[in-house]
Amino acid sequence: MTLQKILLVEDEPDIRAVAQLALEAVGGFTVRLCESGETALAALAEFDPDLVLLDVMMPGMDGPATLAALRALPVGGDVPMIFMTAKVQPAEIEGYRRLGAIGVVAKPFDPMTLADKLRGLWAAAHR
Amino acid sequence: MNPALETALAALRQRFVGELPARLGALRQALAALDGAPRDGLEPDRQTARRTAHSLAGAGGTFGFPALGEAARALELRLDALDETPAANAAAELDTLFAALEAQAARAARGRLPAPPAAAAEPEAAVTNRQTRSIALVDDDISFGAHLAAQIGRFGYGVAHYPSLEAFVAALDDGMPPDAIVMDLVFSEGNLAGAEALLAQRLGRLVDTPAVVVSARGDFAARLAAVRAGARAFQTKPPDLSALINTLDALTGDEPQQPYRILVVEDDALLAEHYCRLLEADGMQALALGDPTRALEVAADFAPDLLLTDLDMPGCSGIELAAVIRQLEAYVSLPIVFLSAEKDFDRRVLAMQQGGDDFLAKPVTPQRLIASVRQRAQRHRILRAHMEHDGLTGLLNHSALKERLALELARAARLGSPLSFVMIDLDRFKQVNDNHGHAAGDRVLRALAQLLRDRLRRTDIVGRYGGEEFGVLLPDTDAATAQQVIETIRQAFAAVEHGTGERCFSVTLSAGIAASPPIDNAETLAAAADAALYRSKHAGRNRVSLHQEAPA
Repeated sequence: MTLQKILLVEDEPDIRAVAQLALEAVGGFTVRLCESGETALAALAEFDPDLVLLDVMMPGMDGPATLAALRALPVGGDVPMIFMTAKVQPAEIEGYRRLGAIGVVAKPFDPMTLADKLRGLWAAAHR
Repeated sequence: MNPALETALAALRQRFVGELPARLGALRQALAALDGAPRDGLEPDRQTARRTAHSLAGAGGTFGFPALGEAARALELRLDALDETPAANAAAELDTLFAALEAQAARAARGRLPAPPAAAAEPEAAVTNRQTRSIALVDDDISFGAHLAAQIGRFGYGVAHYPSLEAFVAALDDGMPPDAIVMDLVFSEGNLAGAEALLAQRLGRLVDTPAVVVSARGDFAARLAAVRAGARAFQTKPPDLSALINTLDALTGDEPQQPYRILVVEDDALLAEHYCRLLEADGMQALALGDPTRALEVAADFAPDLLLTDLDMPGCSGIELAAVIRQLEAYVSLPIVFLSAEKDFDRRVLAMQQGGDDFLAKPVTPQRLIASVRQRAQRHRILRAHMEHDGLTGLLNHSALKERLALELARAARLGSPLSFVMIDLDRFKQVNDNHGHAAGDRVLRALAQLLRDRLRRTDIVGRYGGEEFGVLLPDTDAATAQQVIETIRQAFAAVEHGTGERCFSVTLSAGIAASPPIDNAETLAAAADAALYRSKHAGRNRVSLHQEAPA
């Protein structure tokens, strides 16, 4: 099983655009962009991603709330999810893990290495 | 990083920078409403402010503005903790943090080398007071346009890339015209659509805006269309970036075009006066000389762009004068126009053979006189600029600088005023090329050239002496004053950050100064400055030394 389709949930248009470049142009992934938790809920079943990348701080449904809501969907049970956040203290990472994320990516991210980071986290979760 | 990705990221970065003012404006409003106090009912404002700061923190870092990101993060954290601090302190703290954020945003918008820290008792304005000049780049080749826009932007310009003529015209409707335009020719509307668009806009908003055509076409029809559309320069793709930047600098620079200087040699005083008035009415600067035997000394001071001379004069004919003038290296290409009632064709031919460029028969109509003089003076200026200037930095080249040194020294001696000559050499420049590449090295050279131009007076003369060596002529300046001026420049340049992000680096310079008096010979003056430069290098570099007289 390989990592090919990524669902990205990010409210900032700038960050979305850079992440899209980082994932599509650099990583070669197929990417679906969602600007909010609500949009992500609507897209999950139809897009059927291998991985969901979630911004933590979003207006309305924030990252953790979105994760919980996605998990509650029939198809959302086992899709791996990764948070993106500027707060990456070890204690906080543990907190995100307990919420169900397989890992955390620090913001700001380097567009050249984001794809590799995601592959690494995804591979570790599938061992 | 592959080029397509680089240009795409550059385009996103540009957009981010472009939106900064609006986002900061919204943040400022939210902070003003809060006024430091987390009262109920103001919670929405606090959240707005916090979210804006948070997103700027993330985006700032992502787009390579770490300092901007950190300033935004600091503001965000302070807003988070607003409940815990008394209101009075909070308002002041938020103001300070916001001011820091604005400063970082301004730096990002300038997109160029940050202003060096002001030296104590700085007499003139800081280096980067000049407003960012705006360029509109119109090209429907998205990746080429984005790439070129990014490259031009690195030289301190604010570049907006328009992928279609429509977008460009729409933008013109919305706001101020740019300082200059870089226009492609071929668009979906037609193979000369770019030129046609320029021509159409010339009557309206773009009447004064200089334009440069950069096109894959290089055929005559394309070039003619560009000329007819009023384009000031034409480059085929891929453009020579150095030449393009030089052209844009010249087109958008704030140095007013100096009037052409015409030396009129005519022994009939009334006629001389008449010619001078005609030329001055056309915006040129004219000097009348009745005695041709004084022409060389007068020309040395006046530095004419053209010599207008009568043919028949007692003491020395116009033909003879032309021959004498042409003996001097400096005047080999000086345009010479003869004026004469001479009807004899053979004598006219002879006059031209002596190095004349045109022969005007008296009585000459004002239009004929002005046209002939202006056109030749202009052509000469352009040619001389090419011959005398260094392509990369736009400064005088080695030989032109040496000529000016001799000229200025002679003038200073005549006027009894001091003159200082400075030799500047970048420290460890080879390392810059080795560690960061030649393109970065070139940008460092241009940065120093720009700093020197900004900090020195109009009357000071700057040249590129060699690879990383520069020479500066400071007329009416004694050694002590020269040392102060160059010391300030040394400090300013050392503080400049070159490169971007993690590859930031700085470069220092060493300098040596020699002055006249006491030295009165150009070669000796240059050698003395060189010796002083040598001392600076061997004393540890990054310093300015004055020439010392050898003990008797």
